[in-house]
Amino acid sequence: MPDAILEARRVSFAYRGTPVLEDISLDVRPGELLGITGINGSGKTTLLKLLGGLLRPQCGEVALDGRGLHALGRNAIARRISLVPQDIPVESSFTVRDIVAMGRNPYLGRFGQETRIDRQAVEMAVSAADIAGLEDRLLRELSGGEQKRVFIARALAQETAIIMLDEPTANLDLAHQLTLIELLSSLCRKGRAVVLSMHDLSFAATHCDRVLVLANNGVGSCGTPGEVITPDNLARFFGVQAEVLHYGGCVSVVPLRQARRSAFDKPV
Amino acid sequence: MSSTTSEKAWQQTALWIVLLAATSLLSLFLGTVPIQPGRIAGIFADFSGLPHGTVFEPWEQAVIFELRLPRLVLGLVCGAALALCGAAMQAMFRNPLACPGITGVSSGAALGAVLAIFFNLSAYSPYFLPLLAFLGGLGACWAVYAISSRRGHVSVPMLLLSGVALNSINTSIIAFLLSLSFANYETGKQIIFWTLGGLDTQSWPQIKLMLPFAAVGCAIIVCSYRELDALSLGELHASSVGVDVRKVRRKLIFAAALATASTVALCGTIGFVGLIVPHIVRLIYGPHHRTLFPVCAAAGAVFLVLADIAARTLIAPEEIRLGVITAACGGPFFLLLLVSGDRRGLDA
Repeated sequence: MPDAILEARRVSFAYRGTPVLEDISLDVRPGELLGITGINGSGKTTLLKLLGGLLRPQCGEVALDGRGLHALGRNAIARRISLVPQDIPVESSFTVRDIVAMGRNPYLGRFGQETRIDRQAVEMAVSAADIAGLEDRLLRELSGGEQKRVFIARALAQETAIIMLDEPTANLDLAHQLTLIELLSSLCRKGRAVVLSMHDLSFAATHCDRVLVLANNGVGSCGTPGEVITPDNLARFFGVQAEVLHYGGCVSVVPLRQARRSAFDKPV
Repeated sequence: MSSTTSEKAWQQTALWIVLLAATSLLSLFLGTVPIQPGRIAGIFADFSGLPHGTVFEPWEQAVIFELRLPRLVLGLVCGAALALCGAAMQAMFRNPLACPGITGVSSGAALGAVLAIFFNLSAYSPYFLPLLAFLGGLGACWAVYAISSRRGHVSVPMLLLSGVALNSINTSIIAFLLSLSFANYETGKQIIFWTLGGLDTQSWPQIKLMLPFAAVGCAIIVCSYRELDALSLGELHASSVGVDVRKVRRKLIFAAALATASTVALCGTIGFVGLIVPHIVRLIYGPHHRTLFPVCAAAGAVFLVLADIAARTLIAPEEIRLGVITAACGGPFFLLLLVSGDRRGLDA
């Protein structure tokens, strides 16, 4: 197993005194697709922000390549970690190309001009994210799914070892969900680490190498999808009675009814 | 494709240079006594030692160099600086209503300047008034930001409301100082002139004193074009492409306070330039700050010089205060902005 490139060591975070995450340890390894899931408000986005150095943990530390994240500058981090936020400025009048090209910002100096390498990276990202032909359109003219892919393209243009996506499959139609996951898997095969938060458990169980469930401010369960996405855990951490069906390499989580024991109760 | 874009850029540059030159010439030409453009050219040729065949009166030269030229330079500098501050604040706060006037930065700087006038500090050093104006502007900008931001996220209603509150605090203190100065006619008059704004109060030494500060503030803003592009998509987006949002914010707040305070120190509070100009320019030229900033600077300069021309010609020989003219244009524009619900300029 390759060494972790990004590591959270006993990280805790509270918003104005309300603890969100407590004592979380996690490593992100090159070449793996790591899915983070959990009920609404369980801290998925907060964990992504902590891992990306956008929030500073009150306790513990996040280390990138063995060095504390907060010793690094924003630019240095942005050359190693890219993030696709959940919220997209849908009314923006920037063109698609402008936004994808912003992914090259960490490589440009203050007045640096784009070089051929930058333009190539942008072109490759555009075609990989399947938005070729839209480059000169304004972001606000695109559909929700297209907009999402623009920001995924920006993260690709950033050419980082770690890519984080917050709810990337929301707003995407089924075909584009599959295209996205194929793209992310191919990045993993090339040795990148991909971390994504998601609600779609079937999707997580089918495609992720590792799944982490956040519950009760901590790691409820973490491991291979087979270990984590089980009827037991679904009842414990998601408060639903559900069946986990296997169908030709795909996993489908079928929620049946609310479980009597909800995630808000203390775990057994 | 690229050749047409650069051609367009040249056309736009040429257009703005012509507009700047035309308004400048008009501003030099117009006044209580018009001075012929030919004579103006002659005066400048004479000044730079070039041969010319024009005959002009010595008083004409004095009027140009001591009255109209400083006024023109002030108009150009202050218009450009205020428009740049407005453009930067609008991007930073992601709101078209953010500008030095509405967020209370101008009135904070004015309060500083009025304190300096009230205590007659300029008698000790010419730097006191600008320094207090800067501290007032910086304090107001920082306070508004601190009140309206939670964990680096700016709440726009909070921003605007805290601006309203700060403005009324500042103006009430200014009014209080004014009421204390009724006994002293000169001080009272100066304070009123300051709060109404105008380009006629300064001569060359003061302009030379403040010019570097305005220039530094503007330069910091202009150099941040790339960060502001990213910031206008939102803080999370900016950080994820390597922008240190906190640092950039601090830098821009400092720069906006510096540039605004220099204009206030020179010509009092002139509202709405930082609101109207960047807003319209953004609608026409799109969201790229690399283009926006130079155009905003040029448009702000042209707008303020034109407003000044209106101020001194509309009811000549009497003068209208410049702040009155810009407010008369800006108020209705502001309402239009609110009523029309045109949110295009609202977002990046």
